[in-house]
Amino acid sequence: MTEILEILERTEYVWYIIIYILGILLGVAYLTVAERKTMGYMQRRLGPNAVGYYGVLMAIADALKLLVKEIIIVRNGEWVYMIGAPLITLFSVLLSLSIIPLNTGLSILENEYSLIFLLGTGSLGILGTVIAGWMSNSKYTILASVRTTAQLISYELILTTVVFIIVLLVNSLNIEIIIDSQVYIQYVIPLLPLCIIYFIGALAENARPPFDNIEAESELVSGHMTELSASPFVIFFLSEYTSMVLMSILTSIFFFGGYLFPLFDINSIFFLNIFNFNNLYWFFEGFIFSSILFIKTNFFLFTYIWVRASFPRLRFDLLILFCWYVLLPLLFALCLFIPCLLFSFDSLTLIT
Amino acid sequence: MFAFRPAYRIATLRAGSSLAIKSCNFSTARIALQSLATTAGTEQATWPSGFRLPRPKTWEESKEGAVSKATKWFLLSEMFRGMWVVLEMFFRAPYTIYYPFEKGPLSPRYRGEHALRRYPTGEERCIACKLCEAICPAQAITIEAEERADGQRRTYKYDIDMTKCIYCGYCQESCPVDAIVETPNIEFSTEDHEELLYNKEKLLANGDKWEQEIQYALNADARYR
Amino acid sequence: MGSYPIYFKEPVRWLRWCAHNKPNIFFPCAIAAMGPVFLFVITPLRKKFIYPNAAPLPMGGYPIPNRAREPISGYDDEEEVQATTN
Repeated sequence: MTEILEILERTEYVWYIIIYILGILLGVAYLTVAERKTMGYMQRRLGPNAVGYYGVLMAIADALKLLVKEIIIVRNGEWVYMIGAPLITLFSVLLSLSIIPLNTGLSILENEYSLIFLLGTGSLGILGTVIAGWMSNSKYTILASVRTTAQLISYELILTTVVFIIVLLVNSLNIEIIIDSQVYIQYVIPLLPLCIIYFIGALAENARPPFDNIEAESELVSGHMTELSASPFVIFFLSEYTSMVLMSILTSIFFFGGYLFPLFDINSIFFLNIFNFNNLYWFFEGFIFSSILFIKTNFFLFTYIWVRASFPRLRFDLLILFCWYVLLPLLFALCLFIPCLLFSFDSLTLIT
Repeated sequence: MFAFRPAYRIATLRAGSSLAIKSCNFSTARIALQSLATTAGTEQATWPSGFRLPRPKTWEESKEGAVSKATKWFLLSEMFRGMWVVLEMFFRAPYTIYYPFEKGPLSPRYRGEHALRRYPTGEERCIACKLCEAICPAQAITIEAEERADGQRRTYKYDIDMTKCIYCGYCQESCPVDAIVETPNIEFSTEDHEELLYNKEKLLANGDKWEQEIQYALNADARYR
Repeated sequence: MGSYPIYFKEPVRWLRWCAHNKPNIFFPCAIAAMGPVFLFVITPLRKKFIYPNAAPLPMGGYPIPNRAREPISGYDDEEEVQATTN
């Protein structure tokens, strides 16, 4: 018995990661069902309601269906890359999720340079789509991956610029310090235009409607995933929704204070009076703060679905022009203006 | 909120006339008619005023300032209005009918599965006049007739290919004795093609089975025929 | 729209036209132009009238006050240390 406990303790981080990833993947599986239900109700219909009570088992039925399907690899495709590319995309998203703090110090990869890590892993996701499109050895998929790359790189620029404006305000690359600096005012209030830009950029980066030109179900054939089937396709699908979760979490962290909420400030007397300081205290603290993050994330996920149900798809040239003619001029103007404003009120501190 | 066009007045006709056009939301009558003097008192061919939309205002003519326009544009006000409409729909009841458990209403004239009816005595109605075979546009009906032992003319073969049938209802319209009818039944899907090639026995059995519903539908519809 | 003003003939009207018809270019330019204004106009005014710049942090640590050191006593640590040493 003690030996087992010892092994468990030595492999503690492995178990953390397994639980974390399982939770995320299960949540993502249910996000697909939630999307279908929500869009159903927005269109005055029911969505999936037959599998299990209220359609709760739909996620499992879907996963089972997709996993037991036969994997078909085209003859001239490179099978290693066709199976590996979705994994690259999924792993890049999961790696990005590892720096998300659920509470102060409650993240898998807690470090001072988490934003740099985040930008790096976020850019890796494009690699998977490029490889999948290229190695399927089909004209259509490679065209699709060129299209995807154009869109994702354009909007990646926007997200990165927004993040660096926030870094100017926070003076740190640590994601927990970004959250902690929003105790008194959440950045959505002084940086509302940036918040809107970030949300639009996140929509495009995740290839969500109205910017889903990389897939464009009703017009094109599934973009770079055309030649994929069964589980490689599922993994792309999964990574798409996981990156949706990631982007929602990041929006809530950068602009809405992450796991902080004015009433549930850790330093407030209200908070200390309710719970006694014992072992369970940490459980309650983590539970409450991560629930706040969870609720904010869910709001943004709902908004993604809401936007999807509301707007038609943009044409591809309009999509790119929207990035370069509308979002980027505004963003660069703010890039010039906000440091000047900070400097003129003696608040600009550069990282030393 | 919905004033996308310039607001039209509910107008009375020209001065001195007490006649007013009541407006209806979806008719063009909400647009006031022009003076009837120009058309010698007739309402026909009167061009409603405001029938043509005015030329859109240029940026210099519009009262709205550039900053106001830009605020609305940058903060996506029109987008949020659209999203608000969607959100209103989200909180309303869905229209879905739980089909196998709930069914929608059917008209008495609904044209579903076919059936051959009988008289109350049990005698089959069909007299093998072959009008239905003649009129069938899909040529789905095949009839063969011969003299029965009691000297009456009856069909010995009455086949309908339900996969050819287009459910136009001409057969029941053409039938002089109301023998072939289309029942309100819509749930007759089968696993095989062969099962949908109905013969006389199947059609008569359908008639026996659905007689109540057929009677009900005919009664409900009788006064309009 | 059709006709639009030409910058070299009527610059003010051209700017107004831009503000109405090309807000995506005009307003970013306006916001960006605010930056140098804040940098070179507002900053000296702020230093003069509102508050001066904060004193820079001593990068080599805060200087030790120039007075005699007093040993502190009467805390729990001391007893524990004694207990463990005994």
